[in-house]
Amino acid sequence: MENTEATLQERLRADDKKALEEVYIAHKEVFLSYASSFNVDRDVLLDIYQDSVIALFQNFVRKQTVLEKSTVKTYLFGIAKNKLYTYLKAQKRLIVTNNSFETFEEIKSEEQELTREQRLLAKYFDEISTSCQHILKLFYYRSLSIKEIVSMTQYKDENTVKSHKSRCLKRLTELIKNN
Amino acid sequence: MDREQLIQGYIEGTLTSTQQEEATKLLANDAAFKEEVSLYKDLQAAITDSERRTLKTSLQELENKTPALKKRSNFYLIAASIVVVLGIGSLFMFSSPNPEQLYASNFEVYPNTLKPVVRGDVGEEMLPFIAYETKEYDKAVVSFASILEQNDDPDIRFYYAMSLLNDSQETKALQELKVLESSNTKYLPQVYWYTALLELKKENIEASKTLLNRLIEDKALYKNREAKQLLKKLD
Repeated sequence: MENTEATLQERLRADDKKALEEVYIAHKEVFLSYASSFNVDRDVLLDIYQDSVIALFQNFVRKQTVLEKSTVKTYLFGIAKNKLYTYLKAQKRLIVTNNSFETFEEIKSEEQELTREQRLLAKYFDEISTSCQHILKLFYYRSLSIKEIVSMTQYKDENTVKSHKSRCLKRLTELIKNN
Repeated sequence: MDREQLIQGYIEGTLTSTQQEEATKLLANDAAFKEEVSLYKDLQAAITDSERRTLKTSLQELENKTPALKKRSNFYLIAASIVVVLGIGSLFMFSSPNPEQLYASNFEVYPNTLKPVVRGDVGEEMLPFIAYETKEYDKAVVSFASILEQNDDPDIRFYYAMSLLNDSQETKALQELKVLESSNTKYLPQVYWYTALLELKKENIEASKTLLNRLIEDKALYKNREAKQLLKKLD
């Protein structure tokens, strides 16, 4: 069991989308049944659950999270509880105290509002070629070193990676300038 | 350590104390360095956001495909889960695509939508479909071929081609699909899609692209999105 948990966390850190789906499917029904006492639409609950799974996944990928005393499930329910409570508070709804989330500690996931520059970057990032998206993602999103990128892609050497990356970056900033 | 690595390490907090000192010094005295650090942070936030949207779409799609499964038979459940997994897999094929991988991530067994097998119905014309649904594709091939000898129905031919394909007789399957391209089968978008995949597997990229474009122009909903995504990867 412990081994599966460790392997799962390792796969999440490695940006394994199948692992994301597995987590999503594994805990969905439990989340929905826990949340049923709040009388919230299923669509809203699913939306909250999806955002929670994504927040968890992106934390693993970006921060290389290692949970030692906790599990993926506990972490997920911590995030989901926080998101659900935030929603209920915004709706001025009563949060019954004796509910199934009681044992989970709320975990706040930080999703910052994008600045104007960041919004533009995000918009034009979606428009550059897949290979550019890929390399920029490996460096800026997964924070892999140039060396690591060489070892896991088909690029010849570090210089090729560097020059491809800077070409892609230039392409992206030019797109913004020209529009 | 070059500047970029220094910036990456600075933001990730992985620098040694000497490097950290160097970065702090540069940050205070070098305007260009300061700007590069802020660009790094902006890119990180932007890509995280873009990635979050992609993930959201794929989870929504996964969700949309799930509820309908409950009513169907077990076969559909299995087939559809393969569809979901492969479909989602294909969304995530960001790494430099190789034709074989693209083929594998986009390929899925086409379900029997022509003559759904109902319990108790074992008429002769059902036999190949039963074989198809139970994945006995070699039997399905023989059985569909004998039906075609009596009645050259393009929709039946489509399932004959699908049986060949699933029975790993890809060259024959491709031949049959090519015949169907100029037929009046209702599975024309499917014909384009599977032909495109087979051409892709044979590394005939241009041929594959032509077919994908035809599929998109066809305006049918079938695989429209996937075709666009696949095209983008092939460009």
